[in-house]
Amino acid sequence: MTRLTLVLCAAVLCLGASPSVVRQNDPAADLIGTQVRIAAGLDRQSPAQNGLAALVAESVLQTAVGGTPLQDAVAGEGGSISYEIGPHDVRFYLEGIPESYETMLGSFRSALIRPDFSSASVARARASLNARIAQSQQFPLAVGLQMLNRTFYTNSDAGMPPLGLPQTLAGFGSSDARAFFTAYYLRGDAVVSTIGKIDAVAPDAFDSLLAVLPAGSSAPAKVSIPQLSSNSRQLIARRDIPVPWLIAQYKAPDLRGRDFGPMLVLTSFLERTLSDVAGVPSLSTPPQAQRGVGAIYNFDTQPASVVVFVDGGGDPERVFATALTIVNVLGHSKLEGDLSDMKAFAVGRFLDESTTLRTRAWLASTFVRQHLGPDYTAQTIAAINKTTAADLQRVAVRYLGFPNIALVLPRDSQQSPSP
Amino acid sequence: MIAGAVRGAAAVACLASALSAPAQAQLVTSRVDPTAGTAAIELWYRVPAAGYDLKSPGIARLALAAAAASHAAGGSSLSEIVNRLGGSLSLEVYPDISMVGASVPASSAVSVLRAMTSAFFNPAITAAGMKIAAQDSAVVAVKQPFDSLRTLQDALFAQLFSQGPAHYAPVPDPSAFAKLAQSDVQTFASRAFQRANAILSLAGNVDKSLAAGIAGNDAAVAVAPYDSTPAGRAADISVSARAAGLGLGWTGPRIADTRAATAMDFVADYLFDPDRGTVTRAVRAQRDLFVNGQFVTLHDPGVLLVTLSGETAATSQQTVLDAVAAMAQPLDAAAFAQARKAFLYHILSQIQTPLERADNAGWYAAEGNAQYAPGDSSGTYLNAASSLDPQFVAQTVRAYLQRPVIVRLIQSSPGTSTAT
Repeated sequence: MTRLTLVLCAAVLCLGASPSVVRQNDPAADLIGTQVRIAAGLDRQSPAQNGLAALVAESVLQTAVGGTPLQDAVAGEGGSISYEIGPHDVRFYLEGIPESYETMLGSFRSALIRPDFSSASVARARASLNARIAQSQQFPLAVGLQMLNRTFYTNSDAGMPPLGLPQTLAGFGSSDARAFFTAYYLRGDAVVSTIGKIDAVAPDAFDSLLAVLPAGSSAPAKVSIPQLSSNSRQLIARRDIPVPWLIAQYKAPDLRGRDFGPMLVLTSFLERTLSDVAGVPSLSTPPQAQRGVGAIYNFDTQPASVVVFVDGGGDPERVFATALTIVNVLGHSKLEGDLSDMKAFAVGRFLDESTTLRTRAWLASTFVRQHLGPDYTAQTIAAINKTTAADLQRVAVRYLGFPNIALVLPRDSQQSPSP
Repeated sequence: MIAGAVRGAAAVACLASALSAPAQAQLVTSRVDPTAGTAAIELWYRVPAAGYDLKSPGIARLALAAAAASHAAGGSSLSEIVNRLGGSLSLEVYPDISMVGASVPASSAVSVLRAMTSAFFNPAITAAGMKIAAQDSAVVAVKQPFDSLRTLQDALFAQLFSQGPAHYAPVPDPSAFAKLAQSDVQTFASRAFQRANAILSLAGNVDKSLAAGIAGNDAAVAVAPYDSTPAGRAADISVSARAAGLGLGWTGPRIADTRAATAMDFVADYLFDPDRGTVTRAVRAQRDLFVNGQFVTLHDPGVLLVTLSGETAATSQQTVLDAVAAMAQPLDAAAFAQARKAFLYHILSQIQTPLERADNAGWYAAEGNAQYAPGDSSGTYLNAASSLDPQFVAQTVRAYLQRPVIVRLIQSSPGTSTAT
């Protein structure tokens, strides 16, 4: 076992044996959180399997442990378990009180050993997913992102709707779920990232969590997605929402590249600029989920992307065009003065948005999965701080040129779909 | 995580000097953690949102925003400083208490603490600050009618309390702000936000010694909590609103009765937790319905508020009433043990971040029982939660949760209200 110990103030991060186990011991925390990433996400699906990754993950949560579905068993021990389906992997997150955390880990392990793919279990999973899909359609940002992702990934199913569609889910049965689980729930590429009061749990409890899965790794399903023959880079959807939303997506640099830091600075600059241009005065900082304008750098995916969104409180196309003009000027003008304000803002946003156990577990796993050290904060701040004016201009010109755009409009809107 | 707290002796001395005037503020801390990347710094005040005479609706919101937006002589405003650092600024107004808070990188904790105390302990409201504050408050007020949860909560408070701060909405109609002059706001802010009235709540990566010049943990706030008078027989009411909804409210135990207050938290969690609550699950098929239930811990008395937002809200009234009535009988022991563990988890998951912990510590101190804050090192809250048993919870329900006051939001153009 290779054991790397990094001392960061009072926190210690250790990189454990394969599959990668990342530990962030935080004795001051009240809870323990563990993210488990298994390479069984969207890109493992073939075009005919849209939604199968989610159906399998949901079935794991529906699997009875001691006579109770895993999700309920964990709740009864003082915790919660959930999952997200990403372009490349499924990310389970188990959080709970230290006193019974080992019991929760044991329940999760049991469900992974013998997941229930019976017809009844799959039917429950399908019903649960259908409810989540219906709910997600009420969020314009999610709707727009789903449309954009379908054109963003061209050689895999990574851009398909993360939970599938009701009509595709209806076609999957027990054998489909079991086959997908057998093929892709392997421990070779898995990452376990745990954080919080982890000293309350026996050290091998985390290491052994995925030992129940077969060794080995898998490759994404080979898919060639035909490109739409259109000159337009704009997609349109209509939903039951009060105001229109504009969502734009750009390709972005990899987490491991030298452009990572500059893109973080640019993204936060874009966010602040959009907020200023939108002209809605707000002294308070709205929670991330309630923001009507913003920019998100998805460095967890390959290829990475930057997403910019503006809601229709005012005129989203004008706001977006103004912000792009500013970025364009930034990319082509001579920058004078230092960048300390922009860098301080970028560092502040990063720190402010990485305070929950879930986010911290995710960040550590993201860095480790891309073969970087688990000390994500130090690496991110260093990348931001070494950004130069030339870096910013290079990255702005290279990446922030021609986005794909999704417009999500109210159903009864008379707004022209032209750009 | 970064080692961010600036501990320069000069900075400490300067800050201590600025804060060590004779009148002191109360200091509360929650898990000061030198490994955290951020620091949460908050000032809480016991102050009636509608003014000391209760005749100036919105004045606390406007004064809070104006103090945060006004430039110090030759410097930046607090909101500009926090924004420049990429941090978060919070301005919260409740009927009886108000708060300004910031979450910032730990390396900036000293400068933000200095800027915040400077802006609030001796507020100098400027014309430009007033203009920004008026815009900001108007935007908040304009949005509020579209927020059924807040509309219902305000209406429930107004019915449950016949007199006192809780009878008035902390964010009134937008036109109310226009009636408040800069001089009124300055007078109010100078009285409300002075050092002696302040509770400084710190969490995350911030050096406690920085606050040594302010007060010790046991310092008292100069003013007592502003209680309101419960209505003897609160009337049900129907109100025209932008969206349909239903609210049910009960008065409950005061904050000093920690075991009963915790039992009410348990009941709210068991019935209305957003994911696992029994009522939440029972109405999940109604896709348009958003359910919220919480016990609001107040000095005296607390209140349990249940709100249902959506066109089908009225159809679920009996579901809520039946579920609350069922809690008057003790839960099965095994089910109770599981529910209590789930409750403990939900409480702890809500105080993960420095900002959440500072929020909790500040709120409970402002309501008069700092040690009862769930994150407090005394463990008072968690001990109370662990001591709950099915019989005590049922007894508490029988004592407090009898007939609720009911508010119905009728979707139509705004304006009228009728007692029914």
